[in-house]
Amino acid sequence: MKQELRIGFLPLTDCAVLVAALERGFFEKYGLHVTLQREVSWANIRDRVAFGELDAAHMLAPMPLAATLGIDGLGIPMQAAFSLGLNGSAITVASSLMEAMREHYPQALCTAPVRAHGLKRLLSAQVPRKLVFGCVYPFSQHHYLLQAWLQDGGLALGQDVEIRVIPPQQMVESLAQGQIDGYCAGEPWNQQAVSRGIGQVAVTSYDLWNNGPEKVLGVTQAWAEANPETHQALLCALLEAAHWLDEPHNRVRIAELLTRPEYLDVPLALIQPPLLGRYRYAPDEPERLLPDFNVFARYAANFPWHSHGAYFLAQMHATGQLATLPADPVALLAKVYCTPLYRLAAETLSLPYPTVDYLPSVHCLAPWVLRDASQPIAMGNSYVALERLRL
Amino acid sequence: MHKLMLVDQDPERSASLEVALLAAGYAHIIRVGQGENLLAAVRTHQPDIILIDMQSPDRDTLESLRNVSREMPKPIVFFAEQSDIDTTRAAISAGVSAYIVDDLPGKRLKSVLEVAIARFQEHQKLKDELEDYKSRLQDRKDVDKAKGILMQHRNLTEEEAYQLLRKMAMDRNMKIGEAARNFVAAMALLGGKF
Repeated sequence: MKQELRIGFLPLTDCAVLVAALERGFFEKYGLHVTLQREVSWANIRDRVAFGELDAAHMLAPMPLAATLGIDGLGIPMQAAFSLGLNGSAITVASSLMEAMREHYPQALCTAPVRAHGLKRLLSAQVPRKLVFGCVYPFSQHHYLLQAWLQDGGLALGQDVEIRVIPPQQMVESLAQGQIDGYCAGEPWNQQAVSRGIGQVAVTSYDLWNNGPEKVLGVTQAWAEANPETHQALLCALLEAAHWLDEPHNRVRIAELLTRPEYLDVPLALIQPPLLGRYRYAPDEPERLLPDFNVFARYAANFPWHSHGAYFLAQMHATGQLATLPADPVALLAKVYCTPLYRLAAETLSLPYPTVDYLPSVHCLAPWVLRDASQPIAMGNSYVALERLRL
Repeated sequence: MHKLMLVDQDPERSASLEVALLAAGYAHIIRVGQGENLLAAVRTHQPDIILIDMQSPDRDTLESLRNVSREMPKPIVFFAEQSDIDTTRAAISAGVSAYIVDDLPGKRLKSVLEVAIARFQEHQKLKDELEDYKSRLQDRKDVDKAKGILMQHRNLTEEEAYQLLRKMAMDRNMKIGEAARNFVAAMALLGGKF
């Protein structure tokens, strides 16, 4: 069994499961010696995993699918058997635009969630130019959420607004320099813009699609085939780490670890409140309570649902990333999102796991219980606010 | 002749790569450094090949452009046909990534990449050597300091002090510099002033 592993990550709060597994000794417990390697871009992560420089990595949930479809990078097939969490990102808009909306169209900011109609109205009157929004990667939930939110507000892509790819850790600087008018990214990069007073959060991913997909642990299919035991050990370590992280008092400890220079290297005040469910939308507002802003284990958060994969395929097609839908999506999703490997790891740890691959109820207003499982699993609500996201 | 763009945050490496590419017969080379607007530079110069340092955060931005317009770069897609997986692997491990605009003959891109890989590796070697030299210099200083303390407090000769330090290092399975640093730190904790 391969024991020395290098795992890549991007500086984002949701790399927490990897950091917890290392710092709390869960990797060691399963016989793994892991080095976490911070990367600067998702393309680096993809290429280094593809060529074996990294064994596995923190990846955006649609990345392994895009790689396997051959529409991203060199098309080396990848897979994911573990989701690193749900929710955790937000759409930030430049403070100047938010203030202008507040002044001219205060009504537009009074809906829940806030919709983008106010921006559209500003465009025709106060801001006669095209808006530019940043997103972290073409194949990301962030990109699909951002497009859906902008289009819901009546903004035409290309005409009213342009979407530009910028790595998450550069968003705040790009906003400060006026290169973009807003962006969709994970934490701590929204809270940083709010704390600097240059941006305000319009909506969180939690407002748009509560308990929506976010990141996964990605590996190449070749690596998974060559290292089945190591892969299982890795999944067990991550499952334990994710459960450890959903204990509120452990969130305090992980927040402190994440401030270290080798991880996020930002002040505790930007990392800890969202992890504890306290989220700041604007500098002059009190924090709002979003207990599920980061979900690491509850609600079957670590299960790589095929329904999420099917949604990514639909979004890739709708955004023009994928010209034609695959002939056999069921087989493709089974290859990419490896539910049997997850179940095996959960079984080893005597944790409950879903026995179906498709979430029986994606759009659900109240907490519910998943009974298609080895033991019933408590699920959160999964309200999907925008039509486009119900594809 | 194809137009090349070098995007590198390290000006020294970028300069040496430019020299090597000029020597290899590439006449049109544009260098873009840190803080410069890469997108504007790509639009202005319309290069055929872009070589970019993998540590540049502009990579994701650059790559996504291929979805937007045709004259913008795409990654080294022809390697996807597995024709030259080794060169790609070597490029990635050296930290260099290449993007091309139109389908260039594979040989040309390959020669560009080979020059870049060699330069990136050479540069890394120099950096490692410098690090190594610095750490050896530091080791020598710390060993001298530890020797001084031992000579003064235990009335040892320089050679005896050195042998004692060596033994400490061997017993603890450490490098002598590390053992000397530990020793000096321990003495400082015990209240000694050196």
